[in-house]
Amino acid sequence: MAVASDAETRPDRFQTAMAIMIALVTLFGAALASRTALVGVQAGDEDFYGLTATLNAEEARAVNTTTLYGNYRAYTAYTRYNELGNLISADLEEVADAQERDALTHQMNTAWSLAVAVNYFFPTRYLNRDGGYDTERELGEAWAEAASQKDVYPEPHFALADSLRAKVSRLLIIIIILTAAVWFFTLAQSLRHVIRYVCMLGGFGLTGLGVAMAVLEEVLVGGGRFL
Amino acid sequence: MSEGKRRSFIEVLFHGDPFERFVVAIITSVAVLAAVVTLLQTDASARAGQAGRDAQRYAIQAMGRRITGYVTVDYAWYAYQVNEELDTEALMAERADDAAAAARYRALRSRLSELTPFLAPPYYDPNGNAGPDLQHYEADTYLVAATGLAERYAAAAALNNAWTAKSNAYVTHLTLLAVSLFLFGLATTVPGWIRWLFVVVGLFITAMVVLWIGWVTVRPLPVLTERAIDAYAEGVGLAHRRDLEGAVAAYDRALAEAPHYANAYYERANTRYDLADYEGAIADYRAAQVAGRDDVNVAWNLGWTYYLLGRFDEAIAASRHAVDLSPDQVGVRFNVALAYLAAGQIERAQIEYTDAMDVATRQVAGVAEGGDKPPASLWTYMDAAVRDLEGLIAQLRGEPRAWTEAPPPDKVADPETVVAAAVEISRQLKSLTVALEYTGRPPGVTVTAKVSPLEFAKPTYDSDGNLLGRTIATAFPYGTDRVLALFDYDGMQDGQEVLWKLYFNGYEDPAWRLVEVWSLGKSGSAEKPFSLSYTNLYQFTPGEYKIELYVDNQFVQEGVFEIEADEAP
Repeated sequence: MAVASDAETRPDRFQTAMAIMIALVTLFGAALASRTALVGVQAGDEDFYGLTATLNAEEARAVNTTTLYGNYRAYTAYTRYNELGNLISADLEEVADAQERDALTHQMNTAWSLAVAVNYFFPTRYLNRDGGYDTERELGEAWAEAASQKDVYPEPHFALADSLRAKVSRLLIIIIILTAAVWFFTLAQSLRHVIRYVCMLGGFGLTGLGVAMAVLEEVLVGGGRFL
Repeated sequence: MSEGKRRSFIEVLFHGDPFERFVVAIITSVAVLAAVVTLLQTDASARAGQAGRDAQRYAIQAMGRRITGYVTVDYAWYAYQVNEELDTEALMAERADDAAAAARYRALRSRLSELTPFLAPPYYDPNGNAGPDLQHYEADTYLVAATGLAERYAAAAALNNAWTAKSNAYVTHLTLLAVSLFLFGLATTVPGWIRWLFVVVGLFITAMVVLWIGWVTVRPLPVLTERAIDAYAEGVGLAHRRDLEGAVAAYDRALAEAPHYANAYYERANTRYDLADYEGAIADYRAAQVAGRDDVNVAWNLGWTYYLLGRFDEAIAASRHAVDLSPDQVGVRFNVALAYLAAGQIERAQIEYTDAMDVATRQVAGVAEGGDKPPASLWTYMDAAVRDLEGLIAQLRGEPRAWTEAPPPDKVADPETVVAAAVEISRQLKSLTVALEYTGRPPGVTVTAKVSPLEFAKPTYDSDGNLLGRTIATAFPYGTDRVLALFDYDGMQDGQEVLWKLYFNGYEDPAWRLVEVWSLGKSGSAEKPFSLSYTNLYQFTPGEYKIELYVDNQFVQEGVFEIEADEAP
């Protein structure tokens, strides 16, 4: 039985270097994987914030619209009675019969009294100079009030969530490149043929590409907070 | 190692144990593949999450849009109510010869109509006789937008399901790759030929997984384009405002964009049905089923449309499918029975009607035990079942009304037998409906009282309000505000509960429903007034009026009169 020589069993420097590279690239890939997971969590958080803002926005719209039309009903009643009083008042000038004048005066006073009564059921600050009711202004003010209390703008959150998801995908591509680099280093370490140098170069090339992409992703593209 | 032995290719290529090095190469390759699958899985999971989020967002927005829309339309309808009140006040002032007051109310009406676009063209003509076009206003205010959002929700939810399925498949792939990696690792720990077996099995699993990954990756997703959804929503809006041709054109556009758009097929089918294009409707209902919308509504409508075409076997099959999908739906059970009846299978029809009536009775008893009321839809379905029977009877007697929906008479075998059975079943259904509604139980002992068919008369009075006489007729002129139902009776008992129901053009007007206690003795003649004369403004609307009489919740008699149309220009 032949005994293997030291030269055959002891790792040469090349193999040691490849093993170190495999370890380094694996560590770097693990760090990137951790970063990817954190960015994914951020994306989920932004989705949640966006949905909360959507709910707030729709709640505000529903409440504001309901309130508006409640007020507008009261304004409609006010207009009905107020205009009726005005119309009777205009007709009174042409009525000569005293009994009829008394009856119309009573109707006019009743109408105006009712107008005053319902006047308390809508905010008069939205009345225009022409007597109309500024529904747009009421809705606008109500929306501004809601926006000052709660987040009602979901789009920025959804845009950020989508951007973070894209970042996760890019980070995963970098991890794949690094995995391919490990594959080359592993082959280079195993091979005795001259082709191992080609594999080594492939490993270094992919490692360099992966590191460069990771740096570019974090420094130039951004899109996620470091946690 | 013998110096003279030639090295194999693997030995030349690798350091150390060539087998182990070879397996390490495979393991690293599979690791790269696993990394790619991880990317695909993460991507699919992210897209599923994104679609799920979008689905939730659209659902919230659709609900919000509907709520704000309802509130807006509710105000518009209130404004119309005020508008009508003022119009009525103006008419009453005119009748009292108070032209000034009438003018004031009209001026006020005009002023208030400025408060909402609903009381102006294109929704309302203030100078015309027709009411406002509420459906048009609803469509413009919120329906199209809310429908678009609801469809986007459905599309996003479907996309979420599809991406989730892909993501789950990739997880399975990763699990299988882990198994193959385990086998490769195990191969390095055992000697002899078995290690090659592990490698071969591992490679086989890996190859299968690669094929599966490819299939999952290229499998298409259920994508609805924005243009398809917008066209569909527009179609729903047009159909709602009864622009049926326009709606079909909009659905055509939606289906040109998305040929597998099941909801568009379904809605186009409904619109074609409204256009009386029953063959087209059937084709679209079936297309909706093929495209994945195989729910109770599609099967129900498909069965009914087959019935209207006289294709009773297909009607029974489709309606049966609807019953299978939703066994508690009484309405579709009645459709099964009706199709059997029209097909001339009288005994089978009676069995099916009895079965459906038993289901209705159990439903009412079930909710009564819990102290609740049955759903209002139950009465709707039972009334519809009677209306369908009466439609079949009218069709076979050659007296179809404008609202009659029934198959062509030549498709019905043995019409006389079918009519006789339909009349009897209709009586049973009417009595059951009233008994369940008022007592929660089926009708009790059969009422023996005899009531003659109802006749109708218009009374005439002198200027002091004294009755001068009655003019018996089946049709009365426009402007009639009081009609008497005349009948003879025998076998009645004081204290019995009497119910009057009035139907206008085939549909009951519950505002006229009247429950009384009988107090006119055992036998005699009686008259029951139906009158709007307590106002001095309103008369009966032209159309067909049917009066039904129930004693102790059992159908006893009925009669029909007509109010003629206004001949004035």
